[in-house]
Amino acid sequence: MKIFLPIFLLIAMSLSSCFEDLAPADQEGLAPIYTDPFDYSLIKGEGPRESVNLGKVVLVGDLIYVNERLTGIHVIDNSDPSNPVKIAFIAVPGNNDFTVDGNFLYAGNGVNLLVIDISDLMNVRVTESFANFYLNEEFGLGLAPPDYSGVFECVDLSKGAVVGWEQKMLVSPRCYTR
Amino acid sequence: MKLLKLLSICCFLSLVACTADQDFGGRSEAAEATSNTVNGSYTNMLTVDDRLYALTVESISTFDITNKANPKLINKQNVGFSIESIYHVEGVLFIGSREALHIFSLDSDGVPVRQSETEYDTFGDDVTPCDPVVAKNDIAYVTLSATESGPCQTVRPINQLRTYNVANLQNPQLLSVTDMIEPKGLGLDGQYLFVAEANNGVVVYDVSNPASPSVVSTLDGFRAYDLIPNDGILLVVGPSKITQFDYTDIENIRELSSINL
Repeated sequence: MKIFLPIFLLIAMSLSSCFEDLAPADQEGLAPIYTDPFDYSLIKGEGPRESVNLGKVVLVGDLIYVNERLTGIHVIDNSDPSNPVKIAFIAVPGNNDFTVDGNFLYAGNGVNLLVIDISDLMNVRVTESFANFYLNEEFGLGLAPPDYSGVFECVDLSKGAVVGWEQKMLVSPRCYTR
Repeated sequence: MKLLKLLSICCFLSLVACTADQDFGGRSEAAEATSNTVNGSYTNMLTVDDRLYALTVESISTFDITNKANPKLINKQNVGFSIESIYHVEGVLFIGSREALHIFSLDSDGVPVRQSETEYDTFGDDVTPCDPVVAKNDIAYVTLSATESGPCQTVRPINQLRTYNVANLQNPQLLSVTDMIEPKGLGLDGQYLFVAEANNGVVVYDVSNPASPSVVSTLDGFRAYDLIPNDGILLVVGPSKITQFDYTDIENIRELSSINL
């Protein structure tokens, strides 16, 4: 049984694997950031902020929404395209994908899909959460860090849904990916 | 096995908000979006009337959003391997994926019905580049971008614009292949197709004859990740900058603004 377990996990986690029987040394690597998909305290509207790494864009009339990868969504007033003005930032940890329909923002939050009422940008309100909507055990989504080679702390779904990954000193990490 | 091959890719579809001259079939009038949302090429979710479509790595989920605050899942179905982007026009969904362009029509409940799957691979197995798509009037425009490193990595670099005749949704026909440098997002307005070049600005093609796209204008000197042409104004998103251009005079496109976010 012990021999088959890592093979099952290898298939289940695509390119990821777990060390079996080894006690790997403490070392730097990635650790999952968990979220309670029904705790919306981190989803909030704020004043505008600087960008580091822009992603997807959505245009709704005079408003431009553009993703700041893994962080949230910038909101820009574009009533005058020769002078667009940033007006807000909607913090959504782990966000890369979204769309807007009327007063509602549908947005990824790590492995979760959220529905957010943005009629008041300074007081956004989550109205629905589809926990682990993007979790995919076959592809390791939500179970292993994407675009990464190295050791990582194995995901424990009992701790919540994965919303991102952070670099830290890991205690005897038992998972790795190539 | 394909799963074990280390080819990470990204596929993007560009949404174009244009009135249609032809009917792709399906929920044609009903499928006109009631919102004025225009999604960029990279979207993996969009709404059409009272339906929200959201992609996960292999499936498309359809939600009833009659009550926008509380979507209700009404359908989930498998699409294919590593699907990543979605585009809607007149009751037809084009879904870009690692291997192929998937085409679905929407039934009277707004549930996708599979029509076809057109593989991009002409070089052997597992060569699966990024593939944003836009479509109108029975023509689909696809940019394929594969590079030697990064998220569109593959063994053999492929960077091209392709056009397909999709009058028959079940049997798309390849019309043309145009080499490009590293094409990214794209957008369509009338006879003009705007294509972002990752490190080389934007190329504007006249696609009046979709079997032979011709360059009418180029915008140079900036990095472009995605773009949205809308009513004479082209919005271009780069890594940290948003630039807008007035393209009402297509041979003399002029910059309106550029903001560093």
